[in-house]
Amino acid sequence: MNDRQQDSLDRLIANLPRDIVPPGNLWPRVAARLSTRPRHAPPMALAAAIALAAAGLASLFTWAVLQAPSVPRVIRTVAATTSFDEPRDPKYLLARNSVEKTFRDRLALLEPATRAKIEASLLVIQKAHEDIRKALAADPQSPVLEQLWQSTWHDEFDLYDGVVQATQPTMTRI
Amino acid sequence: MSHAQLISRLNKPALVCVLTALAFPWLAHAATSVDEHRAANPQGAVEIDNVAGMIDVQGWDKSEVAVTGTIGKDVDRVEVTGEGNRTSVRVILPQGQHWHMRDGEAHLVVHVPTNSSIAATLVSSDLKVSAVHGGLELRTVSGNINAEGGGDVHVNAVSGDIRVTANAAKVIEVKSISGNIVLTGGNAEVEATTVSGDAHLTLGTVSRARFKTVSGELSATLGAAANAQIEGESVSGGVKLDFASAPAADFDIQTISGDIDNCFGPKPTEMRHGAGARLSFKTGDSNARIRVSSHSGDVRLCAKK
Amino acid sequence: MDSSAEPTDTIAAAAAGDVAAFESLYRQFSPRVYGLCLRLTGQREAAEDCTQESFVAAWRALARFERRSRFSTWLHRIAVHCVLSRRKGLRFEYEVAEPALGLPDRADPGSGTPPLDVERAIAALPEGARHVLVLVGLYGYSHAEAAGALGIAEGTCKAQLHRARQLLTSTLGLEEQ
Repeated sequence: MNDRQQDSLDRLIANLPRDIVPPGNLWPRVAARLSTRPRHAPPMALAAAIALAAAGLASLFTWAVLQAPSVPRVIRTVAATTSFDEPRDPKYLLARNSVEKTFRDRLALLEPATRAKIEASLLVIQKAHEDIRKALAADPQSPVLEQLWQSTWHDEFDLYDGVVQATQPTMTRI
Repeated sequence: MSHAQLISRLNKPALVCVLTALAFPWLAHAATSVDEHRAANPQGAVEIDNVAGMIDVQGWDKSEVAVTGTIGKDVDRVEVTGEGNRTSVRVILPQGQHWHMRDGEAHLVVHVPTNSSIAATLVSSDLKVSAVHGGLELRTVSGNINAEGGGDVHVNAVSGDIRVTANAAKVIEVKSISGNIVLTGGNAEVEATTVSGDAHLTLGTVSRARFKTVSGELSATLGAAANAQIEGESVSGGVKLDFASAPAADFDIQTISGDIDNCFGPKPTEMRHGAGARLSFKTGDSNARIRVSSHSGDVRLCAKK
Repeated sequence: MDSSAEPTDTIAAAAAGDVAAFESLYRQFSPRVYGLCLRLTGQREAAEDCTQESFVAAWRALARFERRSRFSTWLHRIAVHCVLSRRKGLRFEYEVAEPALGLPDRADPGSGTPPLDVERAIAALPEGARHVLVLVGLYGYSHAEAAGALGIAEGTCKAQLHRARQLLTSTLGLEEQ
């Protein structure tokens, strides 16, 4: 995605209305529930409840970042070898590596047959990405190859995310 | 009673146990029965979490969620709770329990109000959904999903196979990494994605569709609405689009090293220097757009009439 | 976010139990809360539920609102919490056939892309990417603020925004411009 595309996209989003009037009058339903206002609640109770809920929902990535060893298992060196439009932001790459680490931790908990299928699929994606990268190196102006290259990059993330999301409810209980 | 008769009589229960254990192996591991009932909103949401086993969701005409079946001895409990218009059915494993122990399986039938929407998250459990008219949001790692729904459908599987019928859906999203997809949908907006599994889609007249494969074979039978936006993408897997009738649309099909075959309209142009093939043409007066991009996968277009 | 003057007196009155004052706050801020809930959930019914839940929660906590942030910011956080706590059960229907009220149904002459297409494209994003794009791209949250509200790492937030932009660029056909 080049700067012009991003500018176009940002303009489109900036033109969207921030406010949308609710289609019906919700006030009566709100008003009907205002009589149950608690009194003398501890000042930190709501903040603690929200923090606990937020932590329980998606804290895994934060946890993974904090707990990750100083050197992630896979260091993304693609950024050093390609001139294509791949994110090179170190924080982005660290976040992506953290997601991969979480994926590998979850993978280790799955039964061997499932693990093998997932690892085989990951190899398919990585090989496809590499094949596209080589083709793009020979024909860097090809929009088709550029699209496929980005797509396979995101396919790998989707695989990690799919496994993490599908196993998340179990992790929050055990 | 003769000795033989006595032996026969004594062995019969044992024989039944052995035969039952062979037919239903999980029962041999001291399964516990489950029978939970909870009043539920007739148009509410039902959330289901399970690690292993089988969940069979069936719609019925009661305003109640009923969970029956058995759990293995390594399952802690089945928790059925409700808040507002949401009911949760969760199979709870003890802390530290591995996910693929046989005695950690739950085999449950979950009856839900027929207009419920279902959100299920499974690890290796299979899932079946029938007679449910609400939306479906189903996620699994390796379990297989066989679902028939009346509302919109979002299914995501890593290695499980997906079979979905959603003829009344407005939106269908089906994703599998290595599992196969068989989808029957009506006139919905469709997104179907596979990495190495195959996908067979039978659709109605679509206005928006996105088909994506890395190495799996993807075939779709569909019609294109006026102003339809249909996109296909493949790395090495084949993409086959069979239209009910030749659509009026702007076609742009490109492949770097695969073949393009078209049984209607013009033939593809070979690119210079062996850089693949391109098929680009427009039929009729329409804003419909059909684009397919492929690296080495073959692309085939056809129309019945 | 909301750039209008802070209704300090009305907030104080509502915090003291004045329902009429709270209704005034509802009238002023419900479009912003509903817009946020609708974009985050992609579903009108869920957005209505979350809007109601947000204001009920705000009423219950208003006595402890310490004015360290703007009222709209505080209300936003409550709304985001409401959406996230309903994570499951959402996204059963996209708003594809019936646009939400208030959305223009004619193309912006300057953009070439109908706003409803942009709304649909946003609604079709994967959940994590959509949440970040709505908060950062549409409602002006910083990455740190969005990450805190969503309970994710700031780097993950940036990754999701990048992804959202890539997907929207492709969906809206911007690469052809």
